[in-house]
Amino acid sequence: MLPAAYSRNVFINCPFDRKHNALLRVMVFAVQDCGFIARCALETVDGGEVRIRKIIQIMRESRYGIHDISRIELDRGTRLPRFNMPLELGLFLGAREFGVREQRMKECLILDRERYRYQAFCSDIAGQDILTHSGDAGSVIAAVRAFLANKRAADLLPSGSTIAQRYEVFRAELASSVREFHLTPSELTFTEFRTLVLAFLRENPW
Amino acid sequence: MKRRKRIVQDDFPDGSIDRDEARRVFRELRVKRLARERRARGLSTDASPEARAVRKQRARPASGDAVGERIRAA
Repeated sequence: MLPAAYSRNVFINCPFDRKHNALLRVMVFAVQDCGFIARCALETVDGGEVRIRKIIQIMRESRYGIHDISRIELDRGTRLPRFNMPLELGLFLGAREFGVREQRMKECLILDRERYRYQAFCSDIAGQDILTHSGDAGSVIAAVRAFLANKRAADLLPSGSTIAQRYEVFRAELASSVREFHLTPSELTFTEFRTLVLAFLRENPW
Repeated sequence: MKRRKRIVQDDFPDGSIDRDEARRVFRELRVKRLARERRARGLSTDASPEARAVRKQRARPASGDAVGERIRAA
């Protein structure tokens, strides 16, 4: 059974390494500030659950997906690329293709660093609308906002630059706020970060 | 188009952080930030009822008589 929030849930599929963590946080903030709910495989830590099952469950509960497939560099240690992001994008597209009625309503944003680069490493998705980000917060927010802006027809979202300014205020206040909880910003879990974003947005509405 | 009422999100766990407590912290930070911004603009940050009443009085347009009096005085 689908949760009531199905049409508000946005599944985020991106690399979880330290380098990309800043962009993941930007995406979470932008999604939440647009009035949606950021979902991600990091939201539960359960060693008893098979990882792909967890991902599929969150994907099933999310009508929207943001798939950042920009990480195609070889891993320094193994000299191999990581295929998790394209795999999860494939699952999402598969659910849309073969799923039940609600699953066929799925929509996704595919992000890469350069406009046509994906055609060289994932040519089967040529023809999809792909947005680019240059690795900075502003371009990620602009892309997420553009994707979500027309998902709720009667609503008017703040501009990307306004969301970016709000994110800067949030970032500046994050360090002070987490000190109260004896935490450090860099060690926050996904769920803790999302809770703080939500608390900030409630106190600082548009 | 109208701005949407913010969505209530009550069906997800908070992790180790109490959501209400986090709101209280951000509320305090917002008050401090707004005070900083007012100071930067050269405005008063006195939040006492008397100071607020004075500010409210000043913000009100002066009556025609008062304006005439000020013109004569000038």
